[in-house]
Amino acid sequence: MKFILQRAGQGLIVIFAALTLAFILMFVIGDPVTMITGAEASREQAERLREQLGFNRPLIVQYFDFMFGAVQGDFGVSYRHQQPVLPLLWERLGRSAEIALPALFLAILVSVPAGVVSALRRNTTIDYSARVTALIGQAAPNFWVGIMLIVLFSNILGWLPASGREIDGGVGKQLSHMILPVVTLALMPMAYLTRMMRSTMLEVINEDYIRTARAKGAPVPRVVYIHALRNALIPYVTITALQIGNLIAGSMVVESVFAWPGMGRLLMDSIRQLDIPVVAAGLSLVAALFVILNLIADICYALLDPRVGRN
Amino acid sequence: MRHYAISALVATGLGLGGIVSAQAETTVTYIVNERADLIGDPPRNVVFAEQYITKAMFEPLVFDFDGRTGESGIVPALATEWEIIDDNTWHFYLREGVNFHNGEPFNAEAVKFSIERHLDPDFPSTDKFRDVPISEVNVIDEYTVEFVTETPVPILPERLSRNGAFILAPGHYQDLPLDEAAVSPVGTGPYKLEEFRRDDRVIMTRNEDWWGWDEHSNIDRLVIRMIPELSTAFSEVMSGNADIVRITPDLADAVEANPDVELVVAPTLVRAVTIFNLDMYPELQDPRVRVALNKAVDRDAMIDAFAFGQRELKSTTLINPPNEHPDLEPYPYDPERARELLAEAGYPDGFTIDTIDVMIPDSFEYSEAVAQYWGQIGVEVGEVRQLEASVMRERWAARTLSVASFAWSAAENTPETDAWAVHDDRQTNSTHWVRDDFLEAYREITQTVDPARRDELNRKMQEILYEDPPWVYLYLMPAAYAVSDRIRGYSPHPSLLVEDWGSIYVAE
Repeated sequence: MKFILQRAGQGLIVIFAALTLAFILMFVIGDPVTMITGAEASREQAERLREQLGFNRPLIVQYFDFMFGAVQGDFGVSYRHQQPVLPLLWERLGRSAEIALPALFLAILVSVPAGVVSALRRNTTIDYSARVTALIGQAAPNFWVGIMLIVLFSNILGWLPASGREIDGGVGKQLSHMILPVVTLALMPMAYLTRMMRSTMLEVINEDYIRTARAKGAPVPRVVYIHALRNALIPYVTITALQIGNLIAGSMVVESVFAWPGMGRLLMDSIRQLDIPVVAAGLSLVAALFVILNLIADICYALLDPRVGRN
Repeated sequence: MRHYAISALVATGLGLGGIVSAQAETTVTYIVNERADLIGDPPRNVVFAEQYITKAMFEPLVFDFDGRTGESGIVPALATEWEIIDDNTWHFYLREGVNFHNGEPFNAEAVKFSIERHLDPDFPSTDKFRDVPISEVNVIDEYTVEFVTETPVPILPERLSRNGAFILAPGHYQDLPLDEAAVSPVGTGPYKLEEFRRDDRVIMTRNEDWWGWDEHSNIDRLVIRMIPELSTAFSEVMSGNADIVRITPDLADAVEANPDVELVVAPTLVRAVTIFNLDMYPELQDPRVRVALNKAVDRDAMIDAFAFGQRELKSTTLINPPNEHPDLEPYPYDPERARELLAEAGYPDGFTIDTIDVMIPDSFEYSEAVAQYWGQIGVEVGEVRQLEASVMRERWAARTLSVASFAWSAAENTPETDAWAVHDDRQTNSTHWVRDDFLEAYREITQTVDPARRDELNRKMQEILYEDPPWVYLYLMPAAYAVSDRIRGYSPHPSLLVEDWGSIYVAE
């Protein structure tokens, strides 16, 4: 319990730091008023807007105002949307989850068997091809992969739609719009998790208890799937939780490439347009997500491996 | 046979998704690359995508382009005729029998409401229409409206042609909170809102009662999709899922290789220019140096390389056709003379310009060419660098851009609006170029209604801009579009800020 509280406390500090960083970054990047008005507005118009939005106040006042609101979940009103920020983000967070969760699921579904087989058939053709594929998956930038998939499956083969999120039509049509972004988004964590699975599996099958199990004549599948895999999955769980970070980072790019109206794209656009409230709230939300997922991973880890919680 | 190819493609697309056949309905999809948020309140539009979208659902009193002929010039929209009563008074005679999308009648009251709503000092808009010194909008009778201005506004029709002066349904907007107005459009335009999917698309249906339809008009549904990534947007058009997208010149060959998609290259009012900063580089204070830098670049070669070879688009000054000075010719490519001018100005060995700040990506390629040409007369450019948009805007406003490249278009095609970028009352003159005689001519033309006097002043302004150039005038950048070959009646608007949606139809 103490362990969990400690972790939660650290998490709060991280969120606080993220909020502060979000605030500072926005003022380093540029003057939001010129971004909103466009450079063709006259100076009087710009000044009037500066006053309306409160940018003429001392920075420190703006900071405390911002932090005070943020703690209460009030990030203000988006300059561009002219709407409260949090509902905007929630709505898009759901849409991002529509492709991020399947992507994570897909990554797990592929990486566990691929990693295990790769480890058991070490230095065979299967192992090499899995490793090379994983390496490429990790190295290829996802905007490039996304565009290549569009060219192949949409332009050349004509099997799948290139972009957009469909809410009309049947489930089939809606799903067809999700396939390319999900696959693109899944590639990076899939590659990483496969490599992770392989190396932990390799570590585990060389442990004494596995050798003992083999020596006393336990059937191979039982050794592999009960003894080895179970233990190898412990670090894998933590790493998987951390891959959510990769997914969020990836979604910024993937949602832009596939014109998916999710949070990553909203943040990308908002950064470009210096929509401070949205960016600040978005960063804080992402930070909070990270902290919570880390916490869950830590708890899982402690549950799976009793040694961790004790110290 | 081409059309068969398309319908086969569309059929596969629909078949996959399992949607019911949409045979009877004609949907046209246009792609913009920005996110549009304020689609219901034209005076608060900021990004171009929003202006494109509101133009489909709202109308001005007069418009400045006819998509059916592709010609610029003021044409009637909600006003059928107008006249100047005296220097400060205009009468607009309104189209009768027009209704807003919610059934409200369009009349002089609606015009008065829309203009006064926007010009209210508390209205949260930074649109440039707010600069127009309109003091009164008076209802003369149901279909006659009077504009009174504080000072003469000779280009009032042009200024009334953009989103800042679109006419809104008074009953709908009267007490509507601003956040609701932002997404709740009620205008008189050719299309009305069916559904707005944020960050994704705006779906509009045909306004059957629109006055401007002709016998060709057959589009039931206009969809404007927001796709930030050009390669994705381009794929959608190339595979038949969307109809129109503006592309970069490097994609033109791919379009021409596709039998179902046509390449449309259209003239624009967007000036490819490199602007000086007289404050940052003292060498540039001598007009001879700036003329030399203008003569050092080969416009023809640049147009061949970057602008589809349309050499007639060379710029002479910063004032666009049809208002250009009839007796001036674009600077010829003359590196010899350029070197002589530099020597006369006291820089026989040239000098160094640290950077050319590229303000938008479209300007990058030609900026590199400009740097090369300048290098050939001894003016070395340290670096051609692309500025991030927010940094660019801030420096622009603070007038601290180095020598910079921009593709700059005035929303309205008039001498005074073209000159906005170089007179010092506005935020955008980062050149630090100030000529009192130019400002005098500028101020006078903004107040002069008499066409003959306007012409004199316009010529005078251009003579000054020619002998003492604050910019390197290059050419008007043509815009390229990938357009599905079933589309007819489409001429891109030369400002690249709006489209004339009513003229577009689909081949039967």
